[in-house]
Amino acid sequence: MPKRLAKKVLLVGWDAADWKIINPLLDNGQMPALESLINNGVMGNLATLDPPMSPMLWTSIATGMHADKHGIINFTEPAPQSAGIRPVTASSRKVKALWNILTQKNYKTHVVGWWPSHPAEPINGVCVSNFYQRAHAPIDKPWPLRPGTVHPKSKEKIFDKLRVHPQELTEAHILPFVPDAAKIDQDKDKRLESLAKIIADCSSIHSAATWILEHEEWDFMAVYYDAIDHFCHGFMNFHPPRMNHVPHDLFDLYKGVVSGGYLFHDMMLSRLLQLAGDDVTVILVSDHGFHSDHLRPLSIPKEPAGPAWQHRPYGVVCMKGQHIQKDERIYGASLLDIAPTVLTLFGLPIGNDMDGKPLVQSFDKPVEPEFIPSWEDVEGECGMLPENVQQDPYAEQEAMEQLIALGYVEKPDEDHQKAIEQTLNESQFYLARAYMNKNLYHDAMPILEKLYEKNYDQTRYAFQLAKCCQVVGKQVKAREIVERVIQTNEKYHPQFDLLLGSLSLAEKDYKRALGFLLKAEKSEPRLPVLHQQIGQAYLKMGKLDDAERAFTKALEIDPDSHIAHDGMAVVCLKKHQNEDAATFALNAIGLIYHYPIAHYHLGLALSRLEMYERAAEAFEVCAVIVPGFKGAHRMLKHLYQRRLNMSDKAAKHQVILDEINAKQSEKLI
Amino acid sequence: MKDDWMTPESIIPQVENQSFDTFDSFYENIPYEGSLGILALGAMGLLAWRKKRAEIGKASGKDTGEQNA
Repeated sequence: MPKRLAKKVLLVGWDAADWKIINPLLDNGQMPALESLINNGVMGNLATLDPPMSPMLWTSIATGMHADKHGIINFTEPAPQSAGIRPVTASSRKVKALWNILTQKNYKTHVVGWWPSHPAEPINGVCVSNFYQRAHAPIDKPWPLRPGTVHPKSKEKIFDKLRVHPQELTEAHILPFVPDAAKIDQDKDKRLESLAKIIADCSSIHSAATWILEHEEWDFMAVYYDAIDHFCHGFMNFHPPRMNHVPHDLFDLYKGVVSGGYLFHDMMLSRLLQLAGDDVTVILVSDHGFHSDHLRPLSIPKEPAGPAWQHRPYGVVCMKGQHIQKDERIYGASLLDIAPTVLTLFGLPIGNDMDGKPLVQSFDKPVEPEFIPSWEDVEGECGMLPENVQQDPYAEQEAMEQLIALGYVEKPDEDHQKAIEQTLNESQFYLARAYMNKNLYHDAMPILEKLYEKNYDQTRYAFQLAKCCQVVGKQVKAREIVERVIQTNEKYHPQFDLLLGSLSLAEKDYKRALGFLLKAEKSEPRLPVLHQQIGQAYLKMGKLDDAERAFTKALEIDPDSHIAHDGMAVVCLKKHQNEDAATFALNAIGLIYHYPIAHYHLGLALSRLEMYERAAEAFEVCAVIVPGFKGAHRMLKHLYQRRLNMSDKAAKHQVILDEINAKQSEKLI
Repeated sequence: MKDDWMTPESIIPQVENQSFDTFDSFYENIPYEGSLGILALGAMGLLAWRKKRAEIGKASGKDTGEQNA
C-alpha cells in the first residue's frame, strides 16, 4: 500500500474563483491567507469540463469522474411520483464521492454545503447539505431546519443556531462592498437585498465549517462556498473596467462588490487555516473561472443556464502541505484530478474507472499511486443514500426558487408532465455535451438526434448536433442542419457564418470557409474562436504568415486559448521554428492536458530537436488519450526503431498500427 | 471601498488558543453592528456577536433582530 502523505486534508471549494481577478488583489497584498498558501505550496489553472454546470462539476471534483459516470447531469431532476421537478439531489449520484470512500476506510470525514449534497449522507462524520443556508422567510418568521439537512440528526440543534439570516446583517456588513449604499432606492433596486443574501448564505456555511473544525475530530473535510459565483453573476457587469453599456452611476455604486467578495473569502480562509492547523494539507479549488475583462458577454442568451456563458474554462487550484512542493506552478490540471489526488494523499488506491489522474507533479518526491478496478466494487458501508429518497417538498420548492432566481433554470411549466419533459431534455442535452467533452461523439449523436427531432426550434441542440456530425464525418448532414437553422432564424448571428466557415473547413473548401469567417469577423471581431478558425483556414491554404497573424490575434483576445497556442505550434513547425513550436505546444498542454493533438505537435517538435526520449513520451500520451491515432503510433514506431534502439516497443506499435488498419478496412467493406 | 476592513489583522484577533483572557478582550470590543471580520471568524464570531448584541440591546432597549428558530 502506498504511503500516506497527508495527516489531514482540507478541501475548500470557491465556486467560480478565477486567477484573473485574484492576481491583482494578491499583488496589492489584499489576500494574505491565499498568498501564504501559494508561497508555501503549488498553484495552477484547473481546467473545467463541458458543460460548465456547477452541480455536475462539483460532483466531478468529488468523484474524479465525468458526468456520464457519476449521474448528476442537470440542476434539476424529475421528482418522484411525477410530482413535477426538484433540484438535483445527492441520491442521484451513482458513484462514491471522496467522503464515501473515506467513510468506508473509517476516516473521520465531514462535508459542508457541497453541491449537490441534499439529503445529507450518513457518512462517518458530519454532513451539512446544500439546503442548509438559504433563508426563505423574514427574520420574524420561523426558519426551521428542513429534514435531511444535517447528519447526524443529534447535531441538528447546533447547526440550526449557526445560520445567518440576511436581515441580521447591518450596515457594517454591506458598506465595505457598497460604500454609497445609502444612495440606493431599495424599492427600485433590489441589489442590496441580493448582496445581503449572498453574504448571509456564505456566512452560514462558514459557521458550520468552523464549528466542525473546532469541535469534531477530523481526517478530511470538504467545504463548498458558492458565494463568489453569486457575487460574480450579480455584479461582474459592474467590475472595472466599466463596460460601455453600464451606466456610470451603477458602475460607481457596485464596482467594488466582486473584489469585496474575494477579500471576504480570504478572511474566511484565514480562519479555516487557523483552525485546521499547520500539519494539514489544504487544497483550494474552483470549478470554473468567470470572465472579468473584455471577454464578459455583452448579453446573456435566453436559454436554460444562460448565465454559464459568463464562465471561463479555467478555475483555480492551490495546494499546500507536507510533501507538497513550495512556491511552484503546476500545469495541465483538471478538476477530474482532485479526487485521485486526495486518495493518493491518504495512501489509498485510485479507481481505474476514475477519469482523472493524481497531480503527482505537486509532490516533492516521486509518488507511485496504486490502482484498483473501481471503488464501486469495494463492499462495505460508505454512507451513500438509496435512490429516490423522499424529501421535504417545501425545502425543494425553496431551492427551486433560488435556481430560477439565479437564471440557471427556467420557471417550470405548471403542467408537471411538461416540466418533467423539459428537464429530461436538458439533462440529455448536458449528457450529450459531456460525451462530446470526452470525445465520445458516437455516444452523443443518438441523444442529440432524438432531441433535435423533437425540438427543431432549439438552436442549441441543432448546433451541437451539427458539431457532432462534423466530427464523425457526416458533413452533408451537418450542413443541412446549419442551413435549416439559418433559414428559420429571422435575425443574423455571426455564429451562423462561424459555423458555415467551420463546415467548409471540414469539407476542405478553405477559400469558401475563409469567406464566411471573414464576414463573421466584420460583425463580431472579438470572438476568439473565430480567429482560431481563420488561422486554421490559412494554415490549410499554406498561408503561414496570415495564419500566424490570426492565431496571434486570437491570443491577444484570449491568452488562455489552448487551440490558438496549438495553432501557433503548427505554424512554427511548418516554418521549422522548432523551439518555438515546442513552447507553444507546451503552453497548450499546460492549459488543457487532455488535448491529444498538442501532445502530438510537441512530439514532432522535440523529435526535430533530437530530444527523442521526451518526444516519445509526448507521442505516448497522445496515443493513450486517442488510442486510434495512427500518426502517434507511426512516430513511436519510428523513434523506437531508428532513434532509441528499442525494437520491442517499435514492434508493439507496428502491431497496433496493423490492428487499426484492419479495423478501418472492416468498416469500409 | 472602505480600507479599514481590508486588513484582517486589525479586526480578527490573533487568537492562538481559546484562552479566557483573549476571548474576553475580543468580546469586549465587539461592536453592536458586528463586522465582516467577526463573521469571518465563523461560529465563534457569530455566537459571540449575537450574545454581545443581545446584552447591548437589553441594556439599551434595542431590537436585536434575533431570528426565530
